[in-house]
Amino acid sequence: MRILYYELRKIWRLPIVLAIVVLGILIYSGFLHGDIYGSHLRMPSTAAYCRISREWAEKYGTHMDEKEALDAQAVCAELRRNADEQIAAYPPLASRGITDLNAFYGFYCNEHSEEAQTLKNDFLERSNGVCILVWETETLLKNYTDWYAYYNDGGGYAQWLTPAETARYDEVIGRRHLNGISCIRKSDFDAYLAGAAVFAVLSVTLLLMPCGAREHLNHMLAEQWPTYTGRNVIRYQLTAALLSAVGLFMLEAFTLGGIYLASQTKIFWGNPMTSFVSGDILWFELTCGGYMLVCLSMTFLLMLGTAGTVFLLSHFSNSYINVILKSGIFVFLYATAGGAAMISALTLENSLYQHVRVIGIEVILTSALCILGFLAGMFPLICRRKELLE
Amino acid sequence: MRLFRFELGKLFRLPMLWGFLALSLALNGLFLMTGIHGRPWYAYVASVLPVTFQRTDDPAFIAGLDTLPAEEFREVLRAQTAQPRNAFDGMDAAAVGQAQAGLLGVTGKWADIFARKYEAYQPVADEIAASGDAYDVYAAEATHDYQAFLIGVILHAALTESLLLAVLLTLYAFGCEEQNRTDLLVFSTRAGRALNRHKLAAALCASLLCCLLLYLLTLVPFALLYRLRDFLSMHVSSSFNYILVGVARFPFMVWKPFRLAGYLGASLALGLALVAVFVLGAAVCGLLLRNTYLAFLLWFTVSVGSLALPMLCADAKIWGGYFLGLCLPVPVWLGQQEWFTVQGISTFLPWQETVCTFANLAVFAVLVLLAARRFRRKDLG
Repeated sequence: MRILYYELRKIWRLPIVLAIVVLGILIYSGFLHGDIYGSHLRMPSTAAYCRISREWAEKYGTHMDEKEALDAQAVCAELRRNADEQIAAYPPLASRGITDLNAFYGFYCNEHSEEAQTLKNDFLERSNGVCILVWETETLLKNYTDWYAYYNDGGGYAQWLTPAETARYDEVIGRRHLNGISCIRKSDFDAYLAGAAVFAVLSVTLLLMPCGAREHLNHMLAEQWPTYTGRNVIRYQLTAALLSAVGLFMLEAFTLGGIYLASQTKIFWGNPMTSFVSGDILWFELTCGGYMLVCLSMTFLLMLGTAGTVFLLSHFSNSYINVILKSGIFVFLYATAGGAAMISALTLENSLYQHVRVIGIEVILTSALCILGFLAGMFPLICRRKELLE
Repeated sequence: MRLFRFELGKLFRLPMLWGFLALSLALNGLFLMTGIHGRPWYAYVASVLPVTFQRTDDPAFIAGLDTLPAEEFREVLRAQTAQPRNAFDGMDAAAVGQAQAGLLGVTGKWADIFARKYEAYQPVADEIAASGDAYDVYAAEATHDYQAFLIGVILHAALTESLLLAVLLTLYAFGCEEQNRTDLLVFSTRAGRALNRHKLAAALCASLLCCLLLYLLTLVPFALLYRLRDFLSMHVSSSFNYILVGVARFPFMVWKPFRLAGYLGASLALGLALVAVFVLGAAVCGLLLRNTYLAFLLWFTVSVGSLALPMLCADAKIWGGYFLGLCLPVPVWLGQQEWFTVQGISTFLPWQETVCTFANLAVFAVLVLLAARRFRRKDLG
């Protein structure tokens, strides 16, 4: 236990931890923040879309049945009347002959002069964005029926689908699974998770790269190998490396997951991921929370695999530069696999899936990489047991 | 010279250097295969050029097509070139600039600077329009894919590997004395203290040689697989080529009428200059921190920071910071696919990537001098 503690202390060096924290802050604020706050909440149309979904989730729960859809349509019709009245009562618009929402929509989409932009912004501010709210509600209510027709036709690829894919689409249509309410915008959520996975792989690499090379540089092998305990230190080193990967994962998962859930998405934790709001059909019935946990599990597997691989490469390197040169390409492959697995995970759009057409390929690939990395990490334990000093 | 030779020898005797080069070439081989689906089309267009020549507005082009055997590709090419288009004819660069400034949301004096870039482009647009370069067939509708594949994937991969190697070789050169515990011996002598100059020269030389090797061994297979030679005479400002700003397409607005050969040569040369910038940047880290790994962490964190800076500043509407961030070496490297063009919302000045690379070269050279001065006066221990 004492040896394990000291091995952990050797890995968690302050300058390296500080560098990882700074990198995390930079990557979050430069690249991941936009996936939540850039489009998610700030753009008027997306903010409206999220607001409506949240209101529906609060009012109707996890699913919206036919009766609730009619209720939502009635609320939307009332909102439209309100918007029409506000437009008719606004003289600068009325003087241009714009007296209802449809006319304003035409003006909004087709007029781009500076004067028109000012007028549009003034009115949207004055009316508290009611027009955008109506457009988004109507679009979502249209999706409520349209997605079924779309997937009934196999999403336009009926002749191209495998029997398993067709069966899944039929199941979703038959059981009306698309009635789920969720506002997790899958493209943003995927980008966020993929960015987090790449950072996770990078951080575990930066943390573990020096571990073996440092032993060589300080001539520790000559100190350790002549004794029985010394020969076994490598076991503690591997355990410390894997534990460090687990610790780092926990820290990153809680931090980045917490930030995401704090962005007004917590309400959707128990809602289904397959939803008319986004229109994505997953191969399995997962809640938003379940989907997030699956993606986090894949990140965890990648981190363990990376930890094993980097551990091996570091223990066969006699300088820091050697280990960076050796790790570079492998880490690139792990990070690429992570990104590819997370984008549109468990759907037809996933790039890995499109190549092999095996349901769950994302999980299979990350598990395989984890096992390979783990075996790679075990390699120094086996070959170093009887190796002689030079 | 003897010391330089020894330092160079140390770098080239690093076994993992060759391992990294081999892995990089294997990876580039994989990248080469990713464009294989477009190969039949590129091969077809290249094969018809001796008959049709390259200008689609020339009546000989369609006449040449007619003499070729009837096949699907011929009809596709005929359809794509039936109405020759000059994307630069009547181009209002200021309007293009206004549209892009709207996408970025830039305001104030930075909006004026941004607009001036497009004012400066108008004469170039007129020149390209008058010359008819935009009528070049290049690879027809697949032109953007071909150009993006060549510059944005293949050349970008080779340059990225070269830059990483340049940084690591430089850090190794500056850190090897400490690693081998010869630092006390070496830096207690006058000649030893002057060794950094030779280390820098050796790192620069090795990095440039590795970069040339990677360029050569990546571009030769590309040229053989994708008929590069047949396209070298094409103008990159062909109407089929474009740059993407958000989801909007704009013509490939280069600052000088380039043929692909010239454009490729200029890209390779600027890549080499960028390698020199990265060597100098790594040398600063290596001189400030003797621990190679910490020096690498410093370089890596600063690099990621320089990528995040423009995003953060754009989000906070700090346009001065946005501009400064885009001038740093890492964002310049990232924009390689659109070098020597107006580069949409990623630049504020004409020829920004070139200006920034040479400005960075000067700035980092000064920083190296300052770091070396600090190092010369530092006590051992």
